[in-house]
Amino acid sequence: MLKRLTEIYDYRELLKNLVVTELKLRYRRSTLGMLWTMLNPLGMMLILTVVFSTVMRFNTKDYAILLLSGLLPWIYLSQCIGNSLMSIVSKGGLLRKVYIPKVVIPLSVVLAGLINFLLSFVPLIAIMIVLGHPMRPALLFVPVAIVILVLFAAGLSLIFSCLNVFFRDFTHMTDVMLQAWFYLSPILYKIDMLPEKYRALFAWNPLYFIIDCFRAPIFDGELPSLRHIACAAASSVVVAVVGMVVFMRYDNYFILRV
Amino acid sequence: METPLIQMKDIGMRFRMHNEKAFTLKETFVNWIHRKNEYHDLWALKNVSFDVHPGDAIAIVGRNGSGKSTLLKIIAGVFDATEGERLVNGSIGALIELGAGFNGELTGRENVFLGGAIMGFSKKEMLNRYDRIVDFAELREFMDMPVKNYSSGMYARLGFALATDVDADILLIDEILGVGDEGFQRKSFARIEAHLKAGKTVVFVSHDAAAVEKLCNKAVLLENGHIHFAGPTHEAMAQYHKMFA
Repeated sequence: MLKRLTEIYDYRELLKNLVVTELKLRYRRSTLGMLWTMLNPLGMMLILTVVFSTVMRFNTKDYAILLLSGLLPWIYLSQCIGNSLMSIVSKGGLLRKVYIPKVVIPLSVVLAGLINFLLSFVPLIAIMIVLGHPMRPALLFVPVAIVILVLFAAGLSLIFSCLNVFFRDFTHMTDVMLQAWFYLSPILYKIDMLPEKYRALFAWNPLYFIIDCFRAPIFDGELPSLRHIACAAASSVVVAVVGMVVFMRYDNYFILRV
Repeated sequence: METPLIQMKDIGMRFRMHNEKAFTLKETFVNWIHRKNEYHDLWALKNVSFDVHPGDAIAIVGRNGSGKSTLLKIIAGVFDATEGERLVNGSIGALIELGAGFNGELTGRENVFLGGAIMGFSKKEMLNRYDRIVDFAELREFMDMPVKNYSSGMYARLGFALATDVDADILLIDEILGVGDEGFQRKSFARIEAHLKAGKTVVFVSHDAAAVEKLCNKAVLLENGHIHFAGPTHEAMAQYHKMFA
């Protein structure tokens, strides 16, 4: 196991190359290029803000910031899972010809997504300035929240990319699952907008705690509660470790199934 | 006697051929309900043992389907042998398929660096090799073109130039010396010979008897996944020819 982990370090150059390739290909031949990373959340936010503040008459002040602070981490997580699903299978041709540690493939997806995720903070900050949303020192906690989210996303990406090698219908199931998870997580709303009796249920959703690590500093301007930080960090570490163990347990069989 | 570079001990490789392979969760479930899990095992290799010493040039020969490529892939680490032990004490350059890591959308130049990274080279090391690779492939004016627009010959030449430029201790070659025109083939051949002269090792899978006899000092003759004969090339080739007599 330890040897397999140091191997990832030995192949860091490949990891870097795969990330760069992924980003290059995504934006090649598009005039606005990397700008799309920033325009996408901006557009989505515009639509959702209009829908929820005018049509649904949500009376939360600064709903845009509330929404974005949950939506940006969600977009990152769902993209990691979605893109990692087919990542191993689509690299089958390569895996059958050369030896590379398979784990770098889903990891490259997670890291390429991370670059986009970090870039999407630019429009977020711009919107905060435009709307005059106060920026408190608690914002310094956001990098910690990012680390927690990346671990969580990496663990899930490892598990899903592995599962999809053996069961191809995971691609379809994942779409539905992600939809459900999106609405069951406090992304479009805050849980104190819900009736009291439902709130306890969110303790079962690790994403609730992770999103709070972003929303508390960005929207409320305060640190998340220690309990929330601990729950978020603990579930991320567990998911990351489980993902790594599952992946390394089965990656020897990939070659026979891709 | 110095330690062998490659030791293969009782290698066996089993492929489980499912009559109806389940590729989805649904199929797995349905098969499980019907207790349908029929398969037969195919041993592509069984009890294969041999050593490769530094400076050896070993040919793996045999009929179609005798397990040559499987053996090469086990040496390369692509396949994990079902049984037996594989010990390798050196770096490996695998030429199993040319341009295996290439991405069609990327330019030739970008692919050289990507391919280098797959083999474990840093960007700096690849910068030093870049000109030599491009000159060898004779593709100087095409390096900024996406490789999906290359002809198959150009693609293979770039793949060969890239793969053979490595300083690996062991080169694994699978049927790829037939690339390009006669001039390029000669150049490729000379490059392999230079590699051998430098005291490096080559494991070579081929049906080309002339190339095998010219390059290799030893040969392993496979038949149905077993070693039929292992020893000096001319004897192995004589036995090989007898198979078709």
